[in-house]
Formats: sequence, C-alpha cells, structure tokens
Amino acid sequence: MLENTFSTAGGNGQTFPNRTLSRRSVLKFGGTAMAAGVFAPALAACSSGSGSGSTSSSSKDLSYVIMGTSTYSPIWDAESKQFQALFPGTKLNRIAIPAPTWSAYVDDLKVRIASGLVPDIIQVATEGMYTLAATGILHPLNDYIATDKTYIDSYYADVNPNFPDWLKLTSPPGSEVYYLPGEDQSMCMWLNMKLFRAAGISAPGEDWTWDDFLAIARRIKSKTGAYAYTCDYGSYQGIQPWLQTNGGNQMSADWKTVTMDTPENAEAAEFVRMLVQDGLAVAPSPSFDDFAYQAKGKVAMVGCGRWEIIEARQYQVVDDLQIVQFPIKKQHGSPVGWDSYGISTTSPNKDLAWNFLKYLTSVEYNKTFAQLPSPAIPARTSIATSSLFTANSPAGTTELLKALDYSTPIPSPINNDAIENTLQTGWADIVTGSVSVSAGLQQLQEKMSEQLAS
Amino acid sequence: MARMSVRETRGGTVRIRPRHTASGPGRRTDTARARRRQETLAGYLFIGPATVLFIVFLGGPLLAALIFSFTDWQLLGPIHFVGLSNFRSLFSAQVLQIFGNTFYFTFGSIVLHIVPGFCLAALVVRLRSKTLKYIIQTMYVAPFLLGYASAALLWEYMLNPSFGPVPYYLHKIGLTLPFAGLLNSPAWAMPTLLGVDEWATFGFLFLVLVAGIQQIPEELYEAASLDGAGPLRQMFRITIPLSAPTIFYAIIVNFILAFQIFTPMYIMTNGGPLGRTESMVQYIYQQAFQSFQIGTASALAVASFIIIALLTVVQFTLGVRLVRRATGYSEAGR
Repeated sequence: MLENTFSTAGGNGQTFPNRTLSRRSVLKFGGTAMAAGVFAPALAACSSGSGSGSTSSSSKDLSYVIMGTSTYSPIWDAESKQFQALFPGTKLNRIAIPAPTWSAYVDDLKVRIASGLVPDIIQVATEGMYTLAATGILHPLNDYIATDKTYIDSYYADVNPNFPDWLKLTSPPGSEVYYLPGEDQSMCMWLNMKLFRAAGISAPGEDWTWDDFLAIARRIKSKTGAYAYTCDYGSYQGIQPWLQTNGGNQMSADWKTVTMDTPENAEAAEFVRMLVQDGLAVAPSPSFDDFAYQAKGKVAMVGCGRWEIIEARQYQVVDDLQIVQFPIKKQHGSPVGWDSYGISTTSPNKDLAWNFLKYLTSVEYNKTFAQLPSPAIPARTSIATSSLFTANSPAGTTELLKALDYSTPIPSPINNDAIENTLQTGWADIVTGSVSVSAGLQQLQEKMSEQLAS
Repeated sequence: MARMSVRETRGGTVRIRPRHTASGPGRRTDTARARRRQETLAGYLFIGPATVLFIVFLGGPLLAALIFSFTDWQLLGPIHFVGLSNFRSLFSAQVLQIFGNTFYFTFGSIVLHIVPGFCLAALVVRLRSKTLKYIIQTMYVAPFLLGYASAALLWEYMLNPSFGPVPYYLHKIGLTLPFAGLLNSPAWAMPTLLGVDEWATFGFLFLVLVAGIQQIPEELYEAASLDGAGPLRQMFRITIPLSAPTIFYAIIVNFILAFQIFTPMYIMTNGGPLGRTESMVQYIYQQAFQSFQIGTASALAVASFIIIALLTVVQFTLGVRLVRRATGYSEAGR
C-alpha cells in the first residue's frame, strides 16, 4: 500500500561515460552518491515543515495517515465508501500505522514526515497533538471553521463540553486551531461478572473506594483463586487512573513540570505495590495480554477504555463483562485522550481535505463508527448514548461517557514517548519491589524532568 | 571477450591474463587497450550492485551517523553543529551502566554459546548413529529458526510469575522465585535474558562449530587411537587445536551479534528492572526514535561501532596467534 501511496523520485538516466574508468572516477561517483544518500533525508526533514510535496498526485486524491491494523478495516472501508458517495471520483489513499501506542504512532509519523512523506490529512491523538502542531506542518483551520461556523457550532454542541479547553492545552500558544476533535477515550474498570458471582459479590457502585476494591480483590482471590486485577504496563490504563483518583498526576496541569514525587503519587504507588506483593494483582509486564486472561476467567478486573470491546467480542464474553467507574481514594479521575484530524500545510487539496474532516465529524460517520467494532467512543454524545453504540456492549458502557466529565487530558508534552517509556519502566520497578516507593518516585521525578527539559 | 589463461602465482592467488591473438604491433596495442577497457568496465559492473548497496545501506548511513554525531538534530527542525558535546554523554552514569550491561550480556553470551556449543558439537560429530546426529542437530537449531521476537514473546509467557509454567513447576519442586518474577528481579533479569538468548540462538553457532569439527580428517583420530590416545587426549590434541580457526570465528561472530542485542530487552523487560537489562542498541533506538536526539544517538552509534571494531581487531590478533600456536602453523613453516 505504501508503495502505491508514496511516489518515489524518478531516476535521471545516469550512465557511465564511454571512456576508461579509473578507480578515482568510480570513487568520485560513489562519493557523490553517498553524499546524496547522507544528506537527502536531512534536507527532506529540514524542508518538511515548509513546502515539501504532498503525497497526493491528483486534485481528486486525498492521502491520510491513521493509526490501526487490519482489525479496523471495516471502519475504513465504510468511511471510504460514504465519502466517495459524497464526493464522487475522490480517491482516498490510506496509510495505516500499526503502532502499539499513540506515542509510538507519533514517533513513526515524525520519521515519515522527516523523510518528506507528508499526507494531506493527519490523524493524531492527544499524545502527539502539541508536538505536531508545534512543528509547523499543520495548516490552521480558522478560515474553514469561520466559513462553516454553523456546522462547526452544531458539532461542538454535540461533543463533550470540555473539548474547547482540552484543545487549548494541546495547541501551541496563539489563536490558530489545527484540529477537529474526533473519537475519545476514558478509563473505567471492566469486571468479569462470572468471577464476581462466583465470589458472591455484586458489581460495586459508582463511588466505590480503594478500600472496597481491596476487600473485593481479597474475596475474589480467596473464593475463586483468580487474580483480582492486572497492573497494566501502559501509563494510560495502568498508572494514570491510580494517580488521578488520589488527586495526583505525573505532571502539572500545563504539562510544564513533572510532579511524580508527591505524597498522593507515593500513596498510589504503595497501594498498587501492595496489590502485587499480596498476590492479588498480576505484576506489570510489557507484553502481557490482560484481556485474554480476563476472558478466560483468570483475572477479575482490568482497567481499560473502550478498546477492550474488540477482544470481548472476539472471545464472545461481552455478556460476562460489566463496566464501572474506577475506584476512588480522594476523587473520581480518569485520563482522557481523543483522536484529532489536521490538514498538512503542503496539501494541494486543502478544500477537499476540509470536507473529509467535516465528514469525519458528521452524524453519518459517527453512526457508522458506533456500529462497527469501534475501539473508542464516538465524539458525538447523541450517538455515543444511543443504542447504536451500546448494543452488543457490556452493561455499564455509558459509564465511559460519564468518566469524560471528570477526566484530565493525558499529559502529552513534546518528547512524550520517551517520558512515557521512563514512567512505565520506573513504575514497574516500584510496584514489583525492585526499588522503594520514595526512591523510585524520586528517580522518576529527576529523569522525567530531564527529558521534559531536553 | 578475449580468451583467458589462468595460472597459479607464488602468493597462491589466481591471476587471469588475456591471451593476445591479433597480428601487427599497432593493432595489437589498440585491441589490448579496448579489451582492457572492456574488462575494467565489466569489473566495475560486477562490483556495481554491491557497491551501490554498500553506499545506500552501509557506507551512507555510517557517514551520516558520523556527521550527525556532531550536531543537535532532532529530526523535525534545523541542524546545528555542536562539536563534541554529544560525545560527553558517553561518560554519564546511565550510559556507563548501559555499556556495563552490554558487556555483561556479550561476554555471558560468548561463554554460554562457545563452551557448551563446542562440547556438544564435538560429541555430535563423533556419534555413530546418523539419525541421532540429525535429531540432535535439528533439535538445537529449531529455536533459531523460530525468530528472536517470537522466542522472546514465548519466554515472556513461560516466565510470567502469575501464569507461566516455569515459575509454576519451579515452585512445585520447592524453588521460590522473586514474587514479581525473574524478569522483574534486578539480580535475575539479565541472567534470565542470557538463558533465553542461549535457547534462541545456540543453534546457529552450534552448527558452525559442527561444520568446523567435521572438517578434521578421520584418519587423525584413527592414528591417535592406534597410538593409544583416549577420547580426552584426542579432544585436547586433535579436536581443539584443529578447530581453533572455527572457534575463533564463532567467538568473533558471537561478540558482534551479542553486542548489538536488542530484541529480548525490548520485548521482555523494556530495559528494566532499574535499567539492569538496557542494552546499548536499545538505548540508541530510544534516543533516536523516542527522544529524537539524533545527535546523541549517532554519537552512541559511532562509539559502539568503534568499540566493536577495536575489540574485533584485538580478538583477531590474539585469535590468529592462538590458532597458529594451536595448529603449529608459523611463518617459517609456510
């Protein structure tokens, strides 16, 4: 697919001259080729922000880059069909990056952009929004938004009201708007109700606490032998909810300062570490598949966003699951992330690209997204609360929407992937007992601060 | 194309000379020149593809890394020359620890591959049953064919402290492992990765060593046997000395591959716990493609290249001496 999408530079018909070839001339030719090979990527990168060509080749072609694997093909195929029905003759060239996390996706995207491969439309989640906007590769959408004010206003009236504030956080200073927000993601606790029933426990209420969680965990372990919880390696689902429900976070609200060494975070770390040490929770592991074990009845509770629905349907355990809010210590809390779409400055088809962005925010697209095996919550509340989204989903699916009301955007400064990697590794060291809580958090504070500043 | 004649030279190389058949001194000179030109062109065309591949995939990136190591390039943005400042990061405590980890893994891997690999290879070659020989060889080579990423994922599951069969059965026989598992233990994580590496890649060097030992003429063993030499004596007086070039080759290959280790750390431990399993290539990857500190990553890559090159030269020099001593080969006796 990439070969079809990205045009390559044509050869210049270089031939050897008809004379005796000396070693010197061959070396000279080789040296030139080597220099071209060395400097071409750098030159492409330097020019990527200010005028390298788009990957589209005709006025009806649109290239767009998104995250995902072939699992999401039904969504992509449906959206292509719908958009082509609206704009006949349009050819959509999709570039899917199968990254394990949004931060890794942004890394991949940056490498492609540095190579001069800039598509017309770029999908990016919270984790990379600020980074990409700050590089100057995105075209401000203010004029388009002003022209389609009525439509955009109606769209914002149907999405979570926190979006305008969240978008300010993910944009560089100034009045420019670079993205239209799309699907979002909050964090809740997914319960295997078979295990709960086996342990004689009913699903907890909305305001259940860490103490309730601990009592349930102990009962499940003693009555069923199953693990109560898995400490996911990912910061979004494995670390952030514990910090936020205790009033902590990894960074200040403006993402300018690391705040790992706070008493709230220490208390959260102690709690999770105790879960692992007492054998109630599975220790964090980079490649552990939580959902598979929950589906098999080996784990009772998994912290997760909407994305577990895909595996839940694959394993046919949707009816055994129930979604509840994350347990609280001081307050409700959840990280929130969302997909966004921007247009590259180099796109020759900005008007058509804008129409595609509008389509991705439309009721029709949201309906399609909600019905397919969608890994996130449709942006439009009217669709996310409808039976289109909640059908064939676990009980309590709308809790994911409720969580959006008190969610905090996942900290996503520039250099986010490196910081996230440090956080995940350091947190795993703490909860597995390799280092004391205070020393571990202090190390994280120092290393993450250093990375934030670099 | 002119007809060629081939003859042995004193140095042992083969020289190919065109045999001139044209008559007349002027014509002969022109023809010879044309042939030379053709041969030169043909030569360059033959080495052309390899040269292009070298420039694009090896020489170019190597030169690029050298240039970028003196810059502060962060991929999207301008490039500034920063002198040697990227090389100063080589002496930070973190990088020194990572070099330590890498050397630990490298030397551990060499010992674990070469010593048992050689003993097993010597044993397998002397087996009378061909079937048993093939079964053993296949058994040891099979994990190597699996691919390192698959092997790492497999062993992460096998060693999982909650659900893995290894901790389960070790517990059954009374061995208590760290509660968070071997891969989360600062003391055990690296030895565990060495074990996984042994399982996953042992087959390759084992095959190399088998091939080397098989080259030793059977008559030498028969003669030694007639002279009353037992298996141990045969091993130390025939097998080891005559396999010395193969052993030396295996050590160098093992050193180069192990120093560049990445996959098991990336998949199984992500460099943890406490950075005890973070390898140099993994750190270079993180610096280049997560932090986008291309300058720092390039400096580290250049330093690693130099270390590998230097140590290979040292090993080569020592190895040649040892091989000469072991095989009784000397300059005078050539």
